[in-house]
Amino acid sequence: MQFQDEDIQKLAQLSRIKLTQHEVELFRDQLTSVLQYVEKVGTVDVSGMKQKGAEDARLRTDESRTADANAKDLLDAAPHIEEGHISVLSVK
Amino acid sequence: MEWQTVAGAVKGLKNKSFSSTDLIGEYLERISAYDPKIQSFISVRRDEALEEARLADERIQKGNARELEGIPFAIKDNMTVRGGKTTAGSKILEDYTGVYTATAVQKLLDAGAIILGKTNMDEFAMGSSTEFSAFGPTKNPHDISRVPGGSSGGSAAAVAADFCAAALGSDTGGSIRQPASFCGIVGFKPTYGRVSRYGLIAMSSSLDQIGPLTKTVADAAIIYETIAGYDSRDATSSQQKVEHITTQKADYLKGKKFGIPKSFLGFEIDASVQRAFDHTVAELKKAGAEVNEIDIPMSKFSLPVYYLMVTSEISSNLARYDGIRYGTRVDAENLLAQYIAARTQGFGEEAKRRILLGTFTLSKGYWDKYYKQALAVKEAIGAQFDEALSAVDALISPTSPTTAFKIGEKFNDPLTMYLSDLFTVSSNIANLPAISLPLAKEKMPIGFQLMGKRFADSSLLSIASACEDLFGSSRPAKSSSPV
Repeated sequence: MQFQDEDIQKLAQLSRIKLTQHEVELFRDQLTSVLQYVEKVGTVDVSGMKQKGAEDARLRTDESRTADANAKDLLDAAPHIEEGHISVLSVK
Repeated sequence: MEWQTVAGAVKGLKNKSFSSTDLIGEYLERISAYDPKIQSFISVRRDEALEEARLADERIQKGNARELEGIPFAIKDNMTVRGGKTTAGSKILEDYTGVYTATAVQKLLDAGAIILGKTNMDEFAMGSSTEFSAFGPTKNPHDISRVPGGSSGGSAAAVAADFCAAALGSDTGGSIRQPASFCGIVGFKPTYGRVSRYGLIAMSSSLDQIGPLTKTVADAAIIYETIAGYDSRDATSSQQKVEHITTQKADYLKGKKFGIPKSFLGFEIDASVQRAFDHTVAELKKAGAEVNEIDIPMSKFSLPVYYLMVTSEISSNLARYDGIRYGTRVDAENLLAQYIAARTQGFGEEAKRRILLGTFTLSKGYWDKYYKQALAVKEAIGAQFDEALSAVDALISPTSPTTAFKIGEKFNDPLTMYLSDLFTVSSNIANLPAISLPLAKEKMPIGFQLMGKRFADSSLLSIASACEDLFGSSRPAKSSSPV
């Protein structure tokens, strides 16, 4: 697969990142070559291979616990707080 | 007091050869004098460390010293420490202060360790050279025109330059072992699930693991025993018991079986690395070990599987950085513009490159083809490594196909940079423990890697200690001395 400028711009938009034209061209070529390198993963026949994942994950017991961090510390980490809330700009 | 190991410093403090205040003071002085040249630390806890040393001396005086009382450590800056700066090498976290302490760090603190500071790293641990830090590159203490490796390059350089007794790093595809190899020290990546990642800033959650960078295998064992174990706050943390490690002498290698993965031999390896490796294999045989080539054909897929998994998981893990709840906020017209501005200004080039590729591999129509396929191939690779390891005590290889390269040499070619992880990624993909040991230094240090069976971390460390006895242990880097 050969990435085009529009592909890179679409990915940047989805990633909430703005690229310069220079970056678009740089990433277009670099990501094309990295993708070509990783494509070979698709040649492996994995039918019959047991998919791990969900059964390995241990769910925690459903009970409340006291966290190490308190609400004030967590709020203080935010760049803008107003009256105990994180303030954000309007959506539009 | 130079080149203090953890074990040596514990002994020195116990015998009252020096105090923790002497030790911490001396190391802080070394950092002041030589780190401007190496740039291994992002932040140094000067006053706090000296105060903690005073308290450690009181405990030692009263006879209630803990296992690592008063010993100086450095911590990679992607592990949070409550009340301290934690940047992960990124501009987006430049002003972030930790609100809790990572479990691995807390366990060191509970054992009495003193943290001298946080070390430099490639942004969010993405890189093999520490050139991708938002705070500038770290230099290799053996030759400051060269990279220390990465992404735990700051931790490796700090140990090699003798700015601390030992350090913690994190390893997702070789980020502890490759810099250890480049800097001529010991770097150990435990089995996935052995050390809690609570408080480790996530890059690739399926692969990230914390481990020690040290001057000796015995120190790696001490630190591993301190930080390993179950933690309910990391869902992948294993409940298996952590076994005590016994270090061994070279005679322990008699009758041990080692395998060299055949698929590793087909790649381009620097002549100096190949020479050192061949010499080491001959030494192992002389010591009575059996060394054979072993076929693990699936291992050639480890690196492409790795890059599919990390980019996918990075795009997901780094979605949380929006400059709203923490990090750096940027003024903008509306909420969306603010996200975009914070991320555009906050992330460096390598982070952006990986986020974009991961956004692609996780997008509709491609998820099955790339990410899901990569996870399935990961299992197939793991199964083949398990089979190979059932016939031998450990797999051996060079840690990296090259020695430390020049700063800037691979900076503009991501694929070439990614290839420096060739021999290290397999153990992450197969969830195996692996360790890099320093070999006889030619011009630059060369690393020797041993990979062990899953959760057999203690036997791997025993074998590694016997190898260290045979090969000789790490030595301080020259350029961290007065010039």
